[in-house]
Amino acid sequence: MPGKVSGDLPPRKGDIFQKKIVELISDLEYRELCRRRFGLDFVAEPPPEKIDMPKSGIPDKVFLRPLFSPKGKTAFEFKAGTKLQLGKIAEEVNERISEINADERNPVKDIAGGVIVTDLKVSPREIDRILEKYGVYLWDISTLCFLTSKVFTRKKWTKSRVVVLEERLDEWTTILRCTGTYPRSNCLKINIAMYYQNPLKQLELKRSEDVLVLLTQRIQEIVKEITLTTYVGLEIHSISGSTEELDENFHKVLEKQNQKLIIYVKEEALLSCYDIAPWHYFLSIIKR
Amino acid sequence: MELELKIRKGDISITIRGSSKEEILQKIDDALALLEGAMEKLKVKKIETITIPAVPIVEAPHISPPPASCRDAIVKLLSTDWGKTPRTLSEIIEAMKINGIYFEKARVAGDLLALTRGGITRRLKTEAGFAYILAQPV
Repeated sequence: MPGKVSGDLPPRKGDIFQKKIVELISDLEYRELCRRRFGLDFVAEPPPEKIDMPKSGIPDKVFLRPLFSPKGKTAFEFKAGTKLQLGKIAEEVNERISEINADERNPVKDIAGGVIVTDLKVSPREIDRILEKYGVYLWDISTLCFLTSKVFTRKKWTKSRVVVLEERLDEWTTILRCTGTYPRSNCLKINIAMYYQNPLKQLELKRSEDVLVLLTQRIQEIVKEITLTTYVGLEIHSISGSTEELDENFHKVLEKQNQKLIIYVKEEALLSCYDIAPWHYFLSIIKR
Repeated sequence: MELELKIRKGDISITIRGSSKEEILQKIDDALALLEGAMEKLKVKKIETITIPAVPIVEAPHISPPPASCRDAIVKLLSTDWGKTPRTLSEIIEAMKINGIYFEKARVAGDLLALTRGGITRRLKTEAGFAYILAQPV
């Protein structure tokens, strides 16, 4: 319940948790519609499904809707603590959404679905069960770290003459890209952060090969007909981890993508996972 | 026969005309007095001097090897020192011509738009209109 149950934490800590999550959701470019009203913690309009680059080259939005979230107006329920009955919470969220959507005069009606946000680590099986049974998405601590890393990367890359933009690559993958040039070295540099957003299935070798082929094609489209060498700095972020086979062959897979004028920079390549040790990406950045 | 005598003092000159030498000699005193008077008046007035700044000469960019396409030409031109200043569509077309590269204006404009959408160039609004520059290193 708003104000009380941000889980089983004392009210002040629950408030802090709520405040920090709202900050993250806003940084992901959700547009707030209401907070702590109608029995819901937060209702917001998600960022777009696709960003069309305007003539100016500066898009209004940078981020796309996170792929593991409702397509449309979203109700968020924040739950922190240790003793959470996720099934019961999901039922309550659905009831409130149904009440709101049934009320013609409610200003936030037409909610597409709900997201339970928790600071706990929840198993993929449980996340899948909540989605299958209740149609409610669950963002656990791995998802929160994963989404925070997107905001972090965006801020890290933003400069006055650089455009950062998220694009969809396939069903579960997006890329955050920014392009720059080194006139003196006569080369182009594209930084790519690839986000594999399926929390239910690990990133496998075959899938990573497939998305890298798509990525290389996208880069070819961007730099087509340009005869300067393009260096690609690639980070792959997988919300649900990666298979051992991929871990062992990551650099080989990247090398395979190298072409005459498109070169993946080995020293910058990074595969970051959030299923185990979801904070590790931030540590690896500090240590670089 | 018409005679003419020109007297110069400093930045001022005066011309005396007459039909004979005698007539001109008669007019000299009046002319000199007029010249002195004018000089005095000009001394009182403060003369404003304007320094005109030297126009910087930007060397036309030279690109080699020859570009493979219009997009390649644009990126290569903007990669030169000349391209460090945002350049308008007209300036880019002019620089292409200097290098013996000819593309229609619509083609260059279209490729500039595609490069901007791809994040390779940035479009800036300047006094001369929209201008293009390469995106910064990342």
